Amino acid sequence: MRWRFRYGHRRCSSLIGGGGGKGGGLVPLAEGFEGHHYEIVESPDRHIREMGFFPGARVRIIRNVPSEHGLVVGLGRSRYVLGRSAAALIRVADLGGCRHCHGGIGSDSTAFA
Amino acid sequence: MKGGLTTVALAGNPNCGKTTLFNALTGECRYVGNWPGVTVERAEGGYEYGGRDWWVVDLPGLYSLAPFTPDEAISAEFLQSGKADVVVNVVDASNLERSLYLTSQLTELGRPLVVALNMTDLANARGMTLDVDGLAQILGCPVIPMAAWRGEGVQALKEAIAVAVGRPSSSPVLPPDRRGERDRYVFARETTNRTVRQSAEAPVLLSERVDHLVLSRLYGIPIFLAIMAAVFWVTVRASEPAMHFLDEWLSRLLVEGGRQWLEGLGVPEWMILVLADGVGSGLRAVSTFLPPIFSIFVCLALLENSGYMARGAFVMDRILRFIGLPGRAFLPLLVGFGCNVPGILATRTLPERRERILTLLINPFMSCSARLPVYTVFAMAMFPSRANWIIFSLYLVGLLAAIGSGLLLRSTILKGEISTYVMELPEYQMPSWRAVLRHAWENLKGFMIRGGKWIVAAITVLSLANGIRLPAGDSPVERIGKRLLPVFRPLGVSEHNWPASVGLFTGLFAKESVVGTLDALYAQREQRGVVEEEEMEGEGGRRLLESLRRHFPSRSAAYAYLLFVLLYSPCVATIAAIRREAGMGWMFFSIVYQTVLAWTVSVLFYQTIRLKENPAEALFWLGLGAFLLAGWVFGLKAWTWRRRRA
Repeated sequence: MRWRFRYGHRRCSSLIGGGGGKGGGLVPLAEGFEGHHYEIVESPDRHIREMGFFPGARVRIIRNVPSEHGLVVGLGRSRYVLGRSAAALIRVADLGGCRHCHGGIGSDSTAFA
Repeated sequence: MKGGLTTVALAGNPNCGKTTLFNALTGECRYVGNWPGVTVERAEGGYEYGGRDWWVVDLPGLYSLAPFTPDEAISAEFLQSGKADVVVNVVDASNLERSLYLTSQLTELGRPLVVALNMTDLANARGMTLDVDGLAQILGCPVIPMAAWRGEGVQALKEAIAVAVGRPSSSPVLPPDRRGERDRYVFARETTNRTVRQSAEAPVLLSERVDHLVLSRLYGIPIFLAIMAAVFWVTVRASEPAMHFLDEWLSRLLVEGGRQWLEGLGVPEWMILVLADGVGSGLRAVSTFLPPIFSIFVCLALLENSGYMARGAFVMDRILRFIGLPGRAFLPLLVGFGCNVPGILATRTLPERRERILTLLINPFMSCSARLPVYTVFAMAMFPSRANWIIFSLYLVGLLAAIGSGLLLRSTILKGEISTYVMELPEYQMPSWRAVLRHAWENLKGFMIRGGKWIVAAITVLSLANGIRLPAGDSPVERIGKRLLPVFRPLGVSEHNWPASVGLFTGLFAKESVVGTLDALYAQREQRGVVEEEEMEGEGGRRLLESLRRHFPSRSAAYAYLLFVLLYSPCVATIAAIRREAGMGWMFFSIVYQTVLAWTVSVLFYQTIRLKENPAEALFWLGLGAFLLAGWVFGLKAWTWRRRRA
C-alpha cells in the first residue's frame, strides 16, 4: 500500500494505482490513512485505554495531517482528538473500509450480532 | 446519609449528561456545556420524592476509579468513601461500550447501583436499538432509559432510586479473579454486542462535515478569529443603545433626581453624598454595564452549547504546544474570558501539575467580563468609531501576553514534556435558547451581586472619603492618588488625573471598580469646580465619557491605561483561586509578574508613541522598560539554573 499527501492529509492512494484495502502487519495509529478502519491491538497508555482505545476496539481515522499534532479519530459514536505521540504508541491492524479501497467494513460503527 | 437525607451520587464519563440529569432531578440551574470537563467540582442539590428528601451529588466526569486528573480524583474519592447511599451511573446510550468499563467498577463499590441510560433519543437517531432489559439482567441492577434534556425518564429514575435504597447492594458483574483491565474490556464489548443492535449503515455525521472546514489548517484559525471578532462586535455594538439608555435614565432618576429629592427633604449634605452620589451613582454604573456583560455571556454560551469550544482547542493546539501546553488547556483559558476564577478551577482537567500551573498563571491574561466595562467605557469615550476593534485588540493583546509569558515560563521555571493529549470532540448541536439565556442570566446575576457590591461600595466609600477635607485642603483619597501618581506618569496618566491611579488600586479588589471609582471621583471633581465650567459639556449619563476625554491627554494614554488594566495583578478572588490551586508561592509570583509586566508593556507602548514628541524622556522610559523585561528573563533563567544545581 502506498500513501501520499493531499493538501497534507494522509490518505490512501488506491484510486491512483495503490494497493488499498486491508493491510497485513501492525502499524502505529499515527500512520493510519484517513477513512480507514482499524482494530486496536496494543494500547500501552492506561488513561487512553480507559477512554475506549483498548485492544479490540475499532477506530476510524477521520483526519490525519502529519504536520498537525493531533489526529481526529472516530470510536463508536464519539470522535476524539488524539495526540500524535499517543497515537504513535497505539498499534493497529488495518481493516480497510475506505471508499477508495472498497475493502473491509462499511461503516464506522461495529455491527453487533 | 447526610443529615437524614439519602445521598445519591451521579457518576459517569465526561459529557454524558450528568449535570443535565442533576438539573432535571433537583430543578437547579447548573451550567451545562457541550464539551467534556464542564464540571470540575462537586455540585449538590436536593429533591423530594415519595415523602422523602434526597440529596444529589453531581460529580465531575471520570473514565475509571483510578483517577488521572484532580477533578477525576474528587469523583473517585467520593465514590470510594462510601458516602453515597445510591450510585446512579449515567451512561451515554450511544457510547455504551466505553461507559461499561466504569460501570463494571461501580458494581464493586458495595452500594446499590442504578444505571441511567441517557441520550437514548440520540442513540435511536443513530440507528441503534438497545435491549434495556437484557442490559439490566447482565448488570444486575435497574437500567432506566432516558433523555434527561427533555425530562424523559426522570420520574422513572426517581422511582428506581427509591426502590434501590431499600435493596441490597449491587453484585459485581465480574468475579474477583477476573477483574483485570482486559477482563473489563471483554465484558464491555460482549455486553455491548449482546444488547445493542446497529443498523448496517451509519450516516456520515453533519458534525464531521462541518469539522472538515472548521478544523482545516487553512480556514481553522481565520474562522476562530472571525467568530471571536463577531462576539466583540455584538457585545459592543448591540449593547451600545441599551447602555446609553440606562446610563441617561438612571442618572436622571437615581443621581440627579435622588439628590434633588433628598435636598427637598432637608437631608444633611453628607447623607446626600452617600445616597445619591454614592449608592445611586453606583447602581447606575452597575446597570450601565449589564447590556455588554449579558451580550458576551450569551455569545460565549452559544459557542459552548454548540460544541465549538472543543474545536477551538484543536485549532489552538499548535499555538499552545508552542508554549508547552496541550490543546485542551485552551478550554480553561476560554472559560477565563467569562471569569478567571472558574477558568483557574478548570485547570483541574489537566493531568500534569506543570501544565496546570502554567495554565493558571496565564489565565488572568484572558480578559474576563469584569474588565469588559472598563474597556467599553474607555473605547466608547476615546475611540467612538472603532470601539469594538479596540476591545478586540485588547483581547488579542491578552492572548499575546499569555503566549509570551508561556514561552518564557516554559523555557525557564516550568520546563517539561507536554502530556498525552486526548480530547473528545462532542457533536455539534443547536444551542438551546433556554440554556443559553439561563447561563447568561446566572452570570449577569453573579455580576450584579459580586460586581455590584464592589462598585457600589467603592463609589460610596470613595464619595464619602473624598468629601473629607484634610488640613492641606485635599481629601485622603486625593492624597493617596497623588502619592501613587508618579508610578503611572510614564504610562500617560497626567498630573491632574490622580483618580486614574486610585481606580487601579480599587481595581485590585474587583476590576469592575475601576470605572466605578473613576465615575465617582471625576463627578466630585467636577461638582467642586476643579474642572473648568466650560469644559463640562457632558450631562447626565454621558458624563463619564466626557470626563474620560477631559482627563486623558491622548488616545495613546487611554490605551496604555487599558493595557495596564488588562495585564496587572489579578483581582482578589482570582488571587485566592490561584493560592488554592497552586499555593502561596505561585500566588505571589503571579501578582508580581503580572504587575511588572503590565507596567512595562504600558510604558513601552506609550513612550514609543511619544518618541517623536519628547525623544529624550521617551528613550529613558523605553530603556527602563527593556531593562525590566530583560531582568525578568535573566532572573527566571538564573532561578532555573540555581534550582537545577540544587
